[in-house]
Amino acid sequence: MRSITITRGLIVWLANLCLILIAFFLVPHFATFENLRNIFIRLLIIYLAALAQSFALVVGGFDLSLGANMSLATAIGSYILIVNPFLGFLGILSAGAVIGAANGLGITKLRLNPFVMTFGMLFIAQGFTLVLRPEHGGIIPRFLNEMLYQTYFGVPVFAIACVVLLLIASSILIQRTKIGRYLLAVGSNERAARDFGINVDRIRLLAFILCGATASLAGFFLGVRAGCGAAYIGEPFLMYSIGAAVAGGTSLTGGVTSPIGVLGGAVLFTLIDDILWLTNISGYYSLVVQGIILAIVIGLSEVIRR
Amino acid sequence: MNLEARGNELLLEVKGLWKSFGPTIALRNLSFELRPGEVRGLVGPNGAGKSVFSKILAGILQPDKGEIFWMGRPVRFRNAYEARKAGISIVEQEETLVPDMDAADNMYLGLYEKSIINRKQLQEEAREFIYSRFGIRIDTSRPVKELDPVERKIVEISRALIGKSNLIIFDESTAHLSEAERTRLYQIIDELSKQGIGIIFISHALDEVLRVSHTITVFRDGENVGTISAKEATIEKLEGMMFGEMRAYLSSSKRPMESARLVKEKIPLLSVRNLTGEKISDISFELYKGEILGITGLRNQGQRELLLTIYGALPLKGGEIRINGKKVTIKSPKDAIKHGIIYVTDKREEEGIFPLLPITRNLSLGMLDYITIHKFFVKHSIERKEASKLVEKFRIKIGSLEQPIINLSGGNKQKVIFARMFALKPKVALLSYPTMGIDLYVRNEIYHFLNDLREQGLGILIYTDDYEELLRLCDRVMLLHEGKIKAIYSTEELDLSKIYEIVHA
Repeated sequence: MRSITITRGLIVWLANLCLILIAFFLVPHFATFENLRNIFIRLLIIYLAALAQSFALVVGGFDLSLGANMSLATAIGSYILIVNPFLGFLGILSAGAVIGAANGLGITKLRLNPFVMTFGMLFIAQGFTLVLRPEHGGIIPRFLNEMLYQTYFGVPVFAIACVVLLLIASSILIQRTKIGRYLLAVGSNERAARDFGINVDRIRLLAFILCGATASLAGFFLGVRAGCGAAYIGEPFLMYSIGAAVAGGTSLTGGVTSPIGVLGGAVLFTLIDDILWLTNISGYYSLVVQGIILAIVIGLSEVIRR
Repeated sequence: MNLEARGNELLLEVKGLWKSFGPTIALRNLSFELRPGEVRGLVGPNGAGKSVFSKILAGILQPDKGEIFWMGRPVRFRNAYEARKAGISIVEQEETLVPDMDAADNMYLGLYEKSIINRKQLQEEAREFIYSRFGIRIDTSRPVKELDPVERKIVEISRALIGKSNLIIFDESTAHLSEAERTRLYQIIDELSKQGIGIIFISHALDEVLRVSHTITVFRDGENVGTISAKEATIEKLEGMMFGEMRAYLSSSKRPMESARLVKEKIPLLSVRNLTGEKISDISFELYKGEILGITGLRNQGQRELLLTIYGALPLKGGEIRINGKKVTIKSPKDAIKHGIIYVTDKREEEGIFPLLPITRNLSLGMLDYITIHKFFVKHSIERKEASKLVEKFRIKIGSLEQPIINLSGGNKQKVIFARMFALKPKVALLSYPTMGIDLYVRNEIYHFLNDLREQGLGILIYTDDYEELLRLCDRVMLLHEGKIKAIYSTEELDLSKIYEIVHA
């Protein structure tokens, strides 16, 4: 498998390299410190969303409520972060973990299909968000935003540090812990895992809690970037999360993922997003382009897998 | 084409047929002939290739090599539809009905003459057809999954009878039928034969084969051993052909594993009392320390369910399980493993391996507690070392430890599963078809491994219908029928034909 994931990880990083080279010479304002900062902040959010999705994917699941979960995080944050930033942060993560746990319990205890369960959860989370923030507003403290945008000689150190930490943490979790082994085993062959004495339901529940909490962390940074809560702000990240995770070598049928690959996938979608934005392509057309790229990426990954 | 006018021409001629599945050879250089109107019985031990052969004739499987002449012309059917159009029908051993469709649709599937179907009329026709042949009335408008097993089998047989076939293959079609329906089927076969239709009748029940057939062919290990006329055949003679030298070899005084048998003092290791669960009821037995106990019988008599219930993978509805005399509660495989019980599945690909994970990780799942720091962080160096040790100990043939397990051969996959499960240091091992689809060499390695474990005092339960294996390995053999224990024999009192007779009696 090492060979498989390395090749898949390599391919997405090769694509990234090409994209960077092309953009460097052809896209105006791409090679600027300001854009570098924007890219890394966007990357941090997309990477978190992709990691979240990869937790669900690796146990053979799926999370459609991820984007709504992120929107809800911004809505909650726009009320409580101003009261107490630390407790507010924990509150946001807990809300995400609760959504993940609800997804996980529905899938394991009620035996609902992950597609159905998380599709329902999408509307529940979206509904709560609209109750809290029918229109965008509220305040997310300025100092959090400054921290996120912190640069040192033009380099966005905080965002980069977060990305590196996440890469290390996710690599250790997946490759070097017992839980990581169990996550892969359950996703690879649920029946064999159960016969082997692994508590499959508990592992899947754990995967969805991790997914929900990580998604809400992505939502936290999204809110910090926007400076307020907004009901539909997380929506596009559902697509990014799936696209980046799959492009990075995570199997849609479970059991396979590559931490470095998921980062590569997140970089790919960040670059695409950034380039489309810099070239002033209308937001609606940009959606069309991103949809096509997503389909190509997933199609290619499936071809490589075979 | 008038069949009578063809006189002694062959209906079917098969020459040099080969078929293998991975490393397992199912048919080797097999030849076969059948005349119009001939009823041919086809017998042989399990795994002799009878079903594979009939599936090739019916277009369901494709041969690797060989020629098939159908009514004088060379044919190569790409699928069952082509074979059926050419006039070959089959009633397969496993059920092949579409569960949610009604009996009429199942019978006429693919045979509709018009593109618009009058359902009422079709159901009426199907009902009449079944009544006229079998004398029973089946509700042909209900989904077949709501019918009972006998009715479903009759629907399957009727489906084969309905088209204009020149050859009908019955593969173990009578197993579910009662005496009355069997007699009807024999009459039907007789009538078909008089119309010049060829019949291949596969069954384990030798007396039945003797009664129905004109001629009988014996298969063994994928080869055609010979054909004799039913008049001169006896059960004795057929068994001789089926088991051949192997019988002489096994019944000679030196059984290869006999010296190792050591259940002298009978210390109960696993005691099962009145166990009731899915497909099994009121099962009681003891498994002694250092004993290998075989479980066999006809297929699907609850053997696998018995193992899975003990293992906690199927719910236990009543009775109790004791280990070393102490009552244990097993609600999941996790509990079973905690009490020292392991299970090795026969569905290796579907249930045994973690296909895309590397060999190391497939192996190391069994020893995560030893190779982790604080039972949490995996030490890669120790993991690799322990995995290499297992690879060496089990002589697993691999390219690299990091290659995905899915690329290994069946025998090596089985060794990985064995290594992983036995790394848990069990007291009791439950094995389902432990050598299915595995070549002779690895098979012997597994036998030796199991014998070593027996000498260390493990208790092993093996479900298989490979009678040679039962005789070679087991101290006792338990016969299951319809979820109940029919009898337990000591292998001392058994030989191949005796086992065959008690299983198929």
